Amino acid sequence: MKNRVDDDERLRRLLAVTDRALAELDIDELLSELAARTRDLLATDTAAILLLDPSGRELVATAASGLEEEVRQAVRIPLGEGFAGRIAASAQPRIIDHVDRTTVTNQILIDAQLRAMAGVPITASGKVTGVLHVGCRTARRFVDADIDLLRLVADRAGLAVQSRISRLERQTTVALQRSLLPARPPRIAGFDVAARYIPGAEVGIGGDWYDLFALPSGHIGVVIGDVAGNGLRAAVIMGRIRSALRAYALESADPADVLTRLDHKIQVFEPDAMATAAYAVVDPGRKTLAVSLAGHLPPVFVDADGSPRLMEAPADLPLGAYPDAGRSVTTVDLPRALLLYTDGLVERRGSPLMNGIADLLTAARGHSADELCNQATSLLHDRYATDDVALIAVCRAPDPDR
Amino acid sequence: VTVDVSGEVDLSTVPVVETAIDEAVEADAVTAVEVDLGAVRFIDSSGIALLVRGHHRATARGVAYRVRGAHGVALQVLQLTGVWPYLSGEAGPPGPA
Repeated sequence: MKNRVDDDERLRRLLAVTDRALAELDIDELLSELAARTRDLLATDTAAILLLDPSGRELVATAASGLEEEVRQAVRIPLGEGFAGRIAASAQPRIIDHVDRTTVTNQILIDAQLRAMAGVPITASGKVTGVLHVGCRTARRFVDADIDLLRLVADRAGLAVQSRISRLERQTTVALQRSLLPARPPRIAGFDVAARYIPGAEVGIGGDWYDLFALPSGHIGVVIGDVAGNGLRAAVIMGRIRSALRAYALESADPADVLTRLDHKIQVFEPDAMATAAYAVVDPGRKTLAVSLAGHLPPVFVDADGSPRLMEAPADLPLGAYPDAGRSVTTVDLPRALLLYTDGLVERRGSPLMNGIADLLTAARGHSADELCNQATSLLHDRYATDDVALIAVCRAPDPDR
Repeated sequence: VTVDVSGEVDLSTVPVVETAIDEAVEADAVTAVEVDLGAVRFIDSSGIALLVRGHHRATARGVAYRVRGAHGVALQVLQLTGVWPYLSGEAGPPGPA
C-alpha cells in the first residue's frame, strides 16, 4: 500500500504547513501554499481558492496553482452562477465530469481544457466565505474521499481567512480610532483641556468619541458622543458623525440647530445607526455655555469654589432615533470647568445609574483638566469597564500661555 | 405577540433579542407586538438602539409596537435617553419643536 502511505504523508505535510502558517497569519502565501499542496495531494492539474468579497455577492479568485491566470485577472464569479458560484450559494460540494458552457461560466476554466472538477465551500462560523476547487485535464471520476480531503483543506483555509479578517478589522479599528481621537486635543488659548479614551473590557473599541474645536466665529465647540455598537462598523460611523458635526458647527453657533442637522443627516444616510451626544458651545466672549443633549448624560460642572454638580438640562432624543425630534438648548454661565463623559464611566450592572453619577460627583475634583480626568477615571479602578469610556475635561485657565 | 426579554441587553445579547423582535414583527397576520422588559436588569446603548430599530420596522409594516415593564436601571437609561415615551406609547411620534 505504498500509495496510501504517500497520501497520508502528503496530508500530514499539508496540515503541518497550515498549522505553522496559520500561526504566522501570512494569509496570501498560506492560501497559495494551500492551493499548491491541494493540487499535489489530489494529483490534479489545477487548484484554486476563491473568496467571497465584502459585498457577499461575488467570489474573487484569490489563490491558484496551475490556474494562476485566474488570480492575475482577479476573476469575479457572481454567487449562484457557474461552478464555484453554485457551490457557494448552496454551501454544498459539487463534482462535474465535463467542463463547458453548461457547467461553468469562467472562460479560463474552458481555456485550461479542464475535463473534470470537484469543489467544496470554505466556511467560517457556519457561513460560506469562499470556495476551493480542483480540476483535471484528463477524464477523472472524483469520489467522496476526494471531497473529504478537500473539506479538510477548506476548513484550514476558512480558519485562516476568518482570523485574517478579525485581525485586520481590529487593526483598522485601532488605527481609525487613533487618527480620530488624538490623545491630546488641540490647544486653545485660555483653556486647559484633557481627554481620555478607555476601550471596554468586553466590547473592545466602541463608538465613543470626544472632540474640541475653535470656530472662526470665536466660538469653541466641545463634544462627547457614543455610537451604539462596537468594532470597525461603530468606529466608521463615529468618524462620519464626528466630521458631520464639525461641518454643521461651522454653519451654526446654536448647538440644538447643529444636532438637528446632524440628526437629519443620520436619519437619511445611516438609517440603522443611533448615537447619543452632548454638544456644548462656549461663546466668543467666554461668558456663557450653550448645551444641547441628544439622549446623553448631562455634563458635570465644577464651580469656582471647586465643588462639582450635575448640569440640569433636558435629554432630547438620541441622534438617529426618531425623525423630527425637538431639540432644546440650555444656556448657563460658563463654569470654571466642565467634564463630558460617556455612560461607560458611570454605568454598573445591578446598581442604579444615579449611584454611578453620585460617585462621579464625589470624585470630580481637581485644579487641572488632567487631574479631573484622572479623578474621574479612578472610578474604574476597582473594575474593568465593560463598555468603552470617553471623557473630556475643559477648564478655564486665565493665563495658560504666558 | 409578546416578546419577553430577560437578563442583560447589551452588545453580546443584542443579536438574539433583535432576531426575536424581527421575527415577531414580520410574522404573518401580526397586528401588534409588545416587548416586555419586566425581567431585564440592564440595558446599554446598543440595546436602546435595538428597541428603537424594532419600533421603526414595526411602524413600516403597519404593526403596533409597545415596550413595557422596564424598571430599575433599564427604565432610568431609557428615560435619560428620552426614548421611553415613544417606546412605551405615552407619546406619539415626535414633530418639530
